[in-house]
Amino acid sequence: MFNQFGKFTMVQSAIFPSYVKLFIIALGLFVINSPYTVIANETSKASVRSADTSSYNPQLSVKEAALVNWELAKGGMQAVEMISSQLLASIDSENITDYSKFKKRALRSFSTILKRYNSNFWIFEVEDELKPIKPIYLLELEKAIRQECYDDVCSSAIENVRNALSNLNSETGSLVKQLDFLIASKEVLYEDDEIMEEILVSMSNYLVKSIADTGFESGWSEIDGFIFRHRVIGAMAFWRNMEPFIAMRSPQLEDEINMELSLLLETLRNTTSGQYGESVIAAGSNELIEITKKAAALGLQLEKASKLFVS
Amino acid sequence: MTDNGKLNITGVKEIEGLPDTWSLLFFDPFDLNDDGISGQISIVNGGGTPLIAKWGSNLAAFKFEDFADIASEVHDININSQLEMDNIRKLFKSLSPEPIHQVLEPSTSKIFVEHGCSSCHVLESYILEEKIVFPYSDFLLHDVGYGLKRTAPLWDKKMIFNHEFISNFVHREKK
Repeated sequence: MFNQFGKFTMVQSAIFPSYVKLFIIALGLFVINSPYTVIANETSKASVRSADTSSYNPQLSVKEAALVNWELAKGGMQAVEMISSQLLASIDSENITDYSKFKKRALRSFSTILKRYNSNFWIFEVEDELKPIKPIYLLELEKAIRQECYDDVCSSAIENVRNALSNLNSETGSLVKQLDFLIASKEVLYEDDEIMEEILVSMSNYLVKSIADTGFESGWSEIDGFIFRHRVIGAMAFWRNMEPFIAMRSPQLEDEINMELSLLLETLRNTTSGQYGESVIAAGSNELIEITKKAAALGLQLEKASKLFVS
Repeated sequence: MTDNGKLNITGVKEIEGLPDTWSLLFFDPFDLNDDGISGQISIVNGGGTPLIAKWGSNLAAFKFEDFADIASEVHDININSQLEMDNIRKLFKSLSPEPIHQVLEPSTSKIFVEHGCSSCHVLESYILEEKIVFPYSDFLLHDVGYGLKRTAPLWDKKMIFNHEFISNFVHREKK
């Protein structure tokens, strides 16, 4: 009894003053998000103190801004792993009686898998030790999901999806581990400006040299527009985080990069249409030449930006 | 936690349990899917590692503690120790209503998708402590005319509505 009472008293005394703070914090959380405090928010960023030992500060360092690209790539691959795990778990735990319903859900998941995987395809072009997932795994998965099945045949159809998902899940898991290691080593090995220069050079090389080949690596003569556009523009996902650091050193270059980026986006929209990639890009086609030109122009601007970080 | 200028502390535990990769499932910074909506993630400093923020209607922080810390700093309130911060966090968690774990009725779901709501208020779910959580939010920042704001989760609302409700009501208060 004594111990329980003692504990109760201690918890109460610790919490009671916090109730007052809770109210004030709650009020603060309300006010911090109101339109009237946007300016206060902006000006307060620099003075935000550390919350705990993780040294929280909403402002990214140069190194973090450069690492964002790698973190996004890792996160994208983790997302692929997560979706495939969820689908696998549902196959194992649910008694799937309506295959058409399952198929609809699996196709939506597959579309997200394709989107996330291909948005981060640049990593294979800029880091030789990272190997892409075998295309056959993705093709097998799509084929398995799209198969028609009726009544008792569906159990084997579901088993096919399960096997294909399992292969993809395991490959993606290994890739995430490799990326983890790579990011940790980049964090240790590079100084701020070095890593910024490295990522800008990598992206520049990707846009200037690899776009004409991306998607055709397996000897295909044409590639789905949906996949292609994600492979091209996925490399620029980091841009908004890096932009302020370039703007601080050269506002003119920042404008030029934004202009080239807009032109590339416009070209991609005009040449690869449809949410589900109804169009195809053929090797050597005029569309591919046009996209390659625009991507290279953007890549050259990024190369210029990389020089801002050479010490 | 705050959307529409109102404090809403539903789902503190569920935000903590939100998978780190959640927003990356829907991330579309350049509107590549041509649905007219681009969605940005918010990256914050994580002591050397960039982190994807999930707290606040501006997606200002990765952890609850960080978000509370920003609020306390902006409004000049001292949180003097880790113990105080822990207590504040515990209180928010204990006061936070549990989300409604609702699956949309097919008729509602159809309307929801037809009106484009599901582009941001996504229909995907995740599992937390053996419960299926439907946040109905991509946790991305979108510019819908009043600056970049996170998609408000709809897990505190029982969603039963019709075409007229969506056309006349949704987002009206923000315009």
